[in-house]
Amino acid sequence: MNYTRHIKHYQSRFGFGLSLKDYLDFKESNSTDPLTQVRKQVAARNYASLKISQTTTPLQFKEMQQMAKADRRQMIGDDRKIIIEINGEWIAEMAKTSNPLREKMSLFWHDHFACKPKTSHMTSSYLELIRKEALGNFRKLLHGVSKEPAMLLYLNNQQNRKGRPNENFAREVMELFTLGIDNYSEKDIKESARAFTGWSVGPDKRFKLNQRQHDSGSKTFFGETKSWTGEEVIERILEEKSTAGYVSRKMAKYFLGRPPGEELQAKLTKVFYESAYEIGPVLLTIAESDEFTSNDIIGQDILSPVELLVRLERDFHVSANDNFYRMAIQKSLGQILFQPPNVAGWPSGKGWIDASTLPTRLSLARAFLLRNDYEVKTNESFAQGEDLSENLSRRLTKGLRAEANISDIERAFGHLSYSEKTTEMANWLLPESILAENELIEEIKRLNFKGTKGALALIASLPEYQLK
Amino acid sequence: MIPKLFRYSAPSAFAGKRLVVVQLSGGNDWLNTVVPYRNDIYYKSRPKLAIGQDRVNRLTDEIGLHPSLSTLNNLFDRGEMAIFQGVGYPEPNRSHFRSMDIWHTATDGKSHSDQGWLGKWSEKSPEEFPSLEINENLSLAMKAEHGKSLAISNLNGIKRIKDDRLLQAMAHSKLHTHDMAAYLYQTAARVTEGADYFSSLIKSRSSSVSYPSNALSSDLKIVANLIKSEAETKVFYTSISGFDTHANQRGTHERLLKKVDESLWAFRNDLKQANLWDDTLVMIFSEFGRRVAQNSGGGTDHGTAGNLWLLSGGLKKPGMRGQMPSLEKLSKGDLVFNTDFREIYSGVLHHWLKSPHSNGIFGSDIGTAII
Repeated sequence: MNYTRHIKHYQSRFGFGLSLKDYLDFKESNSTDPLTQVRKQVAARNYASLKISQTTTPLQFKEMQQMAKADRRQMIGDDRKIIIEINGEWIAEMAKTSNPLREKMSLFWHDHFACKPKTSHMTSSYLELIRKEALGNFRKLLHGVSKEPAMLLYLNNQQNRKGRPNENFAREVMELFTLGIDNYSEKDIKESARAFTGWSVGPDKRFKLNQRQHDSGSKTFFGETKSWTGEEVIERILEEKSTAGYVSRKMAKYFLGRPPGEELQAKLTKVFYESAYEIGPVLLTIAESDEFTSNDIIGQDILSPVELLVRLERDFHVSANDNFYRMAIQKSLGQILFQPPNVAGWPSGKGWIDASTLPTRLSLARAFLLRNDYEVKTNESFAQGEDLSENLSRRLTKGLRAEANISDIERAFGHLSYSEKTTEMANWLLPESILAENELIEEIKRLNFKGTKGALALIASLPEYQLK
Repeated sequence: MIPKLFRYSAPSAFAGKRLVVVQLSGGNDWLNTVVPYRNDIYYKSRPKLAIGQDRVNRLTDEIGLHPSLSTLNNLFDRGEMAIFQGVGYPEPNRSHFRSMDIWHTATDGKSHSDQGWLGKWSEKSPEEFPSLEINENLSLAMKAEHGKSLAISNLNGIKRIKDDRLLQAMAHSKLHTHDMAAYLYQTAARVTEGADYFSSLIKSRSSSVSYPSNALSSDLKIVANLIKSEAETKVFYTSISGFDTHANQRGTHERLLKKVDESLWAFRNDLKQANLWDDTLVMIFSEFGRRVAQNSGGGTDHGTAGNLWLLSGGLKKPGMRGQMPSLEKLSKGDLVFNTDFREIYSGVLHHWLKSPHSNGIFGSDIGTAII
């Protein structure tokens, strides 16, 4: 077994790929068990909220209605810029953290509990709940997310009132967050929607049970008739084994790049259910499975746009004077944090690739390393607010500048010959060693990619750099 | 070398018919779009949202269009529009994603597929030319394992690809055995060849028709440009989103329908002037209609049966098609469908695109609507 290949595999699936330092260290020592790292990260309890999350304050919509229209617009515009800052700070954290698994799982939960928070305060509240509990317990996470103002508003639960239920929230909780489609009836949705009536957001912008809107009458849920509360409905859903099955399957698919086989799935369901929804044991079961290191898994999945962005930042130390370049890349590759396309979250695997995203992906390394102008599409708004999108469009049509700093790569490989360099870089950055008979390299060399930067741009522009 | 997927030759005089899909994403409230303005139950169920009798554009003694749709009303009067009512499928699903999947894959709602009806059609059709979606991503409807569909978001995207020398080199490199890498190399090849083809066609001709400025209009303008340039592509796909009107529906819906109305009118006039409107079929659909009764937030929740519209200068059977479902006999608060959408799909493939393969896509028990 190719040792580096294994290390890279674990690091790219349970993290954001192998850093240059780790690559050089592993090459030197050749001893660390890749699983040890995963185990350490699963057990790590070192959660700290992002700095910016501690500074957000709620928008007071009621008071804002008294304000002049221009002031109100200004305030909303400013708040949306803070959402972009949170987005950027989170990306930066992914690139520099010593526990990438926490961020990797936070990304998973953000996709699982897909949500577009309306304000910066709701964004940070939702994000920090997810980051905090990312490696903890699903039951806690589910209860928490269900009461996040961002989620209650996103799923229209403000409109879910006694006598006039709005079923959106109840439906998505069961279809997407827990049981999965076909494991409940339409009646279960109608009845449980009544249990969630009155679940709303108070003046302090936290969860509030509005008693006057809450329907405390008797409801029949999963065949049992009583005056179900929302919390009881969630607990009942967790008693169903299909919840453990559905959620662990999704986790396995996230790490494997395809659904798990029957045997592994049975194991995962059991582990998840019997541990009362602890997340760590599921992750370890996936990492330790034979399936995880099989040949049809390694290098057979495609980086999500955010993973690609994090890698580019981490590998090439990209810097820009503000966060807009991060938004632009997320936008053009089809994944903007805090703006999932819909309640079902983002695509995955081949779903990321089409005629417009592939050329953009393949051009990014060159944009950063060789300072090619990177053009992004601006035909749609980034955020819901018009102010922001206009602002962004203007910046982006002027061109996007972000630069790489590769002094550490220069130090590591600068002294090598061009062909040794490309080999080392491919070993470090690509999931498979593909250079041996790659006629493409020869052809591309004619395009004049000179020096260490050129070699790096070449390797990182290969389609294989998009794989994990 | 991988085989050329598309020919690069100059366009021949293309005489066939083309299909342009316009998807209304989010579940359009068809009841407020095509209004049963004599129906008491409609007004009782929607005290805040119903469109008043005096405001509708009357099509028949019973049915009228939303006031935002004044130019479509004009098309209806000219016999260039068919409105299928009561369109849906058995055991309707009220989830956006699942229901959209069902519309995209044309499956019966029980089975799942990762191939779309237009993707499968393109796989089976002898044409070498790619179907084109004007979008950042390819919709499921257009996907198939060996389909020939491309998604391109705008004209700049086409030019950028054509000028990317590295991408061109990758496209011409040998096939890789490693599955996922091979997929990326093949995609690169498909993209560059498609971009070469379309960029050889696109003319910077200024259209004498002015399009309103909204995203749907920009997309339809690109489609019109390619059709006028005699692209041999038969299927184009566009979409407009925002129809999930759970709250404060009135203004939002009004604006959305206005965009649809204006964009389609400009598109139609553009093609009409070029004498191509009779050979172009526009199909408009949404993943479901909305519930009969309004909700407490001034909006409507996910429902079931809705409409499907066809626009063209060459319709054999324009006017009202199918039946307005009863507002009395509801199923779980929702309208009951009477026309299976797959019959219309089947008709579009069979009668319009003259494809002999439509039965293989929908199953033999599905009828074929006259188009």
